[in-house]
Amino acid sequence: MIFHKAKGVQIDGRKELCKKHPLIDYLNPDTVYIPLVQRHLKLEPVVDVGDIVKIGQVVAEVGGFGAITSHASISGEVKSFKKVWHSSGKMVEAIEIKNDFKNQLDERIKAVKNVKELTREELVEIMKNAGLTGLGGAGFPSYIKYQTKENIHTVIINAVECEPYLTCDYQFIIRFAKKLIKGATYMKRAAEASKVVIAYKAYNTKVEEVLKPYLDKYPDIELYPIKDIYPAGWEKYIVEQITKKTYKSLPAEIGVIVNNSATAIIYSDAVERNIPLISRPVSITGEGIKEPKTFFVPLGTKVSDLIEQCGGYIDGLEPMKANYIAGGPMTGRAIFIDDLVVNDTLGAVIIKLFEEKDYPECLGCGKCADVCPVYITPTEIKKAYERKDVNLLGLLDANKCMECGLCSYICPSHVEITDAVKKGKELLRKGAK
Amino acid sequence: MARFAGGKAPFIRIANEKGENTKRIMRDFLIGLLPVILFSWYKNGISVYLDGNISVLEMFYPLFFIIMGGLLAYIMEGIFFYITDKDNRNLKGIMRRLNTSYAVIPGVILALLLPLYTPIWILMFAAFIATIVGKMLFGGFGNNVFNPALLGYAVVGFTFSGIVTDINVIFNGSEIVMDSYAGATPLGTLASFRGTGDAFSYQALVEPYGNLWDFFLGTIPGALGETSAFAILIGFIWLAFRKVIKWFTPIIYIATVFGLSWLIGIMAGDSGVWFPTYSILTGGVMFAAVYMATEPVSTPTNPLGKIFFALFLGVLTVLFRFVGSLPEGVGTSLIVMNIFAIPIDTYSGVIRTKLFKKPGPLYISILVGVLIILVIYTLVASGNMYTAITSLFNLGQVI
Amino acid sequence: MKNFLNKYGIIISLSLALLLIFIFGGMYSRYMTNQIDVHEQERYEEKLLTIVDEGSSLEEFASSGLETEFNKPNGTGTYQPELIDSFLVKDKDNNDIAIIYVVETYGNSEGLKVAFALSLEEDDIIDMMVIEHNETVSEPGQFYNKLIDENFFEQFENKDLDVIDFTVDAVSDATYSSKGFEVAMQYARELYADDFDDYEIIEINIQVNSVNYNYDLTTINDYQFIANITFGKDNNEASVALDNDFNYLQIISGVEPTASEIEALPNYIADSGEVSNSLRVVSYDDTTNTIEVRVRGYSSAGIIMEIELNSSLTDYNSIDIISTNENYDDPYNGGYDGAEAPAVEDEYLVEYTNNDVIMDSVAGATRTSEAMIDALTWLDQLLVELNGGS
Repeated sequence: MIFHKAKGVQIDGRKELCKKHPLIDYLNPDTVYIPLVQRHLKLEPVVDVGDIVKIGQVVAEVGGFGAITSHASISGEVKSFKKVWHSSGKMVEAIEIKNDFKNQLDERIKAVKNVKELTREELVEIMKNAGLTGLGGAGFPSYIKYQTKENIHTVIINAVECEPYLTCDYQFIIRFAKKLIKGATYMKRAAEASKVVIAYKAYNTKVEEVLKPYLDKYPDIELYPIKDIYPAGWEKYIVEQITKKTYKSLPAEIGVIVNNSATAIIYSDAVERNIPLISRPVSITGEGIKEPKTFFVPLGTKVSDLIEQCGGYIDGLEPMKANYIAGGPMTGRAIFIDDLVVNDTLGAVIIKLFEEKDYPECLGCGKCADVCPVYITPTEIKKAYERKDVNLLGLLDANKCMECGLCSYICPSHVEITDAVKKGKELLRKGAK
Repeated sequence: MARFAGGKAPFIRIANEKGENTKRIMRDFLIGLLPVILFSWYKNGISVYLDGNISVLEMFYPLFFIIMGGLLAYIMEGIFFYITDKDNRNLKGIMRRLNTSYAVIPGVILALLLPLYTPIWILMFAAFIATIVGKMLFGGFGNNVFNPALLGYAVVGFTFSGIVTDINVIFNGSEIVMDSYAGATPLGTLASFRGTGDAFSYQALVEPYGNLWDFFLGTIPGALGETSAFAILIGFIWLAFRKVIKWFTPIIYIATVFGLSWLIGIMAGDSGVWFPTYSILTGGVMFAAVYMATEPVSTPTNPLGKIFFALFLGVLTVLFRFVGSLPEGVGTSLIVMNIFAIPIDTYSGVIRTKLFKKPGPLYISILVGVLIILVIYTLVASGNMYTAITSLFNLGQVI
Repeated sequence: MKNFLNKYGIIISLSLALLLIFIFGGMYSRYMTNQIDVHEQERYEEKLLTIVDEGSSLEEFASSGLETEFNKPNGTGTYQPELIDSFLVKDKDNNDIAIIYVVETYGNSEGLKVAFALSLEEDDIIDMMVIEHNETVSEPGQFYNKLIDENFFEQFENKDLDVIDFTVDAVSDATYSSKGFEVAMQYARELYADDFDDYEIIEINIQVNSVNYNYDLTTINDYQFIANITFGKDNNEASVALDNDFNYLQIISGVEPTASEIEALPNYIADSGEVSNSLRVVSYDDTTNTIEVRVRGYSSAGIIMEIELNSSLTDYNSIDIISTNENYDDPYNGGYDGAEAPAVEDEYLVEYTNNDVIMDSVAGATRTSEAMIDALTWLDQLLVELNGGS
């Protein structure tokens, strides 16, 4: 249909920036800062200043819905509680741990012998104890997905990574292909599903190359190449492409669970060796970085250390003419001070230069409505938001917006339309209460 | 540690990255007008000059007139910015404002809407109305309710109709040397069929100006830009190819006018395809379809809204043309629909998201209902005007 | 100064630009509007030029614009046709070959604009063209359309100016329109005559001094009448020989009249009243010395008589009625109560031959009597002439 044909937009990925170097281990930073925040939840620290912590030791936790634990990512001494910049764009409290470079492991971390006998409940419990969250950027605790009462038939591993610039998942998979396959299998068991589908971008033939050899051994695993468009990594899009079905709020409704590929890799370690979520891959990229690289780092590592590893900023960088973006360029946040630490949702830090230009007002070309993957009308939502017309916002389904950023991306007048819709969405949520 | 600039996601914008910005759209739009500009120059200047009928100075006048339209609008906006924007009273500041205001386009379209022999001072007045009143006083580019060029044209049409129509007696250079015209536009001839009960006749409507091919090429009397469907078609292909306009808006609009004209032609006793073809090739339907019904600011934004807009516009054009007191229906219907663009936009936005959920069906039925009522009224009223059949019952049989 | 320019330079130059566009653009558009008239004129002249086939260019001609009143076709008074334009038509070699007068006259309505092209060499109308008219055209086959249908306009083609009766045949039902065109044509001729010295409208000015029978038997078969006329501007005198219908045959003495005068002569003679006698000599046979004459009686066929002269041509031998168509029984002339025709004729002849007396009119047969009186009076006179005046 003319007015429903939107299925994403091809965006110049710029992924080659980061693909020159393979995934680099940077596992022993001098200091780490474990943020005491998980999504919107505040974590309670369970250690005090002066305590000596080991790798994998629980240092903070929170209960209730979405209960989660945080673990020390290096061994060393708890130095202080300090505010650091977090990828949410705010300063948050964090536990500062000074590395003693002894790499002492927590006693729980050891090879698990009865891997094959673990029940569904046990697998989910491992997931919970490992503090495993969606590493794609949402940071949603993974175990909650597996506690569903719905009958799950398929687990989809999302290796699409549709955000431009980002290569962390890609390089992580190349490096740990076997772990991905294993993690995916465990996830299948944890969900009691019948098959696993690994979705990846069709042009990433290397992913297919490294995963193909395992397919004979694991007949339940399928590969599913996806077109190079944005937002192809969006859960709903992948599910629709693979199952040809759509759902309302959660994929479990139609018997599907979607997990990020990095999550699956981490999960295989958690199942086999009880290693919790203490490290993740991070891309440091963008035109403002001398040598963009992707690192495998402990959580809490200072990004400035990583940037140093990349050779620093390009010469003559004017910070006020560049954005320091935490996350992908489409959905990430601009961080004002380059004092960010790595947390579970931070897939990349991008230093992106921009030019200041004058832009006219919205001319009403309607491109934003054309590209919107959820078929809402951003311009109308913006107008309704400006009039504070909550009723109309409801009629226009402002809450459907998933903030993919395409409308702003496509806007020829550089209107901050995504932001306006986001605000409209918030107003609707508040107004509806 | 360094302080970085703030910003909002997404950080990639095609407006920056690929230059796919409004400036490019407007430039492409202007390029889309080029075939029309060149054709009107050819028709009113070059071809007549080559036949040896006019002087060189006269040959350049059509081009001069069109360029003046753009230039006048540009200068006037510059003065407006100078007066209103106290902080930017220098060349750089004004140029910056002008760069994001795209004054030239309404000016050029305005010139194309006027007959060639419009005095310059009327063009100045029209440009003033178009750009200052029609655009800047509404809040500048992006905020105007009406198509600025159309507003300028309409105001001049009403206030100076005497002068403009007096000059219309001879439309342009090429028509001076053509013999058979009494000076009437084809639509003026159409109006003479009112109340006569005669079937539309090809002899009276088309033959005085040649044949329908001439109508397509544009060698008929009319304002500078509106006559050549051929040139407009080239512009349309370019604009649609560059995705500056939605390809379906002009097509739906023209198809609506075509279909309704055909019905009216049948009612009036001639079922030939020539009549609807004639109907869409006259009175600026083509020009309006490609360059004005698609003007982004004053028409609905989302695709569904554009479809409704085009349908309503088509019906109103036919209504005003066949039933209204002025033979020109296109301009009037566009002005009316510019006002309704805003509610249509909102309604179609809701329909688009809700579709068959509440209140989607209600909104759909409101829009479709109004549309159907308009269509029926148009057919009944033109049936009364052009045929001897008066009762709705009989009309139904004819349809 | 620099400060001032910094502050106001931009607005001044913008306003100046606006002003310049207003002035020079205005001049340009003014020029264009004037050109409309120029082109209109060109097109008009081109159209006019098509009337004359050999014409290749036009030159404006200052006509005297002679004022002459003509009757309005509907008979409500007179009016002055208007001369709109006059052009000399030149051929390829730039010789003047024709003149075009565009005149506005009055047909059924005002505003009948017609162009007439007159050949300078031939003094005739080359052709005409209707430039504009407000005559009724709405109904097919009516009025103006009828003019076209009945080829009214073809009458003008190659029409000679040198005719006295300078008119065209009106189309019935469209007489006002026809008249309008005719007036235009006549006015064009008036203008032509006024503007060019070598052409004059034929003006006939003939005074008939006397008309006599030709009693000379040697020439009586050649011409039957002799008229003495004074004519033309110079009051030329001439004695001309005429036939029985007063048509000019030859000059006898004096200045020869022009062709048009000759053409006009019969009417002048007839209108002069000099010839009251209805007798016409039909023939004279010099072998038998008989003259056959005819007089008009009650019937237009009249009475035909044969007069036989004696051999010395001094007297008549006999007068015989050859034929007569008279009839006195007509109830309308019911006064005569005598015998049937030719009783009255015979009575006259008898009285004349026997008593040398011409009888007075017989009541009830007046016209026949008059015819007989005419014939006998003529015979008397003939005899006087034959006998040398006695």
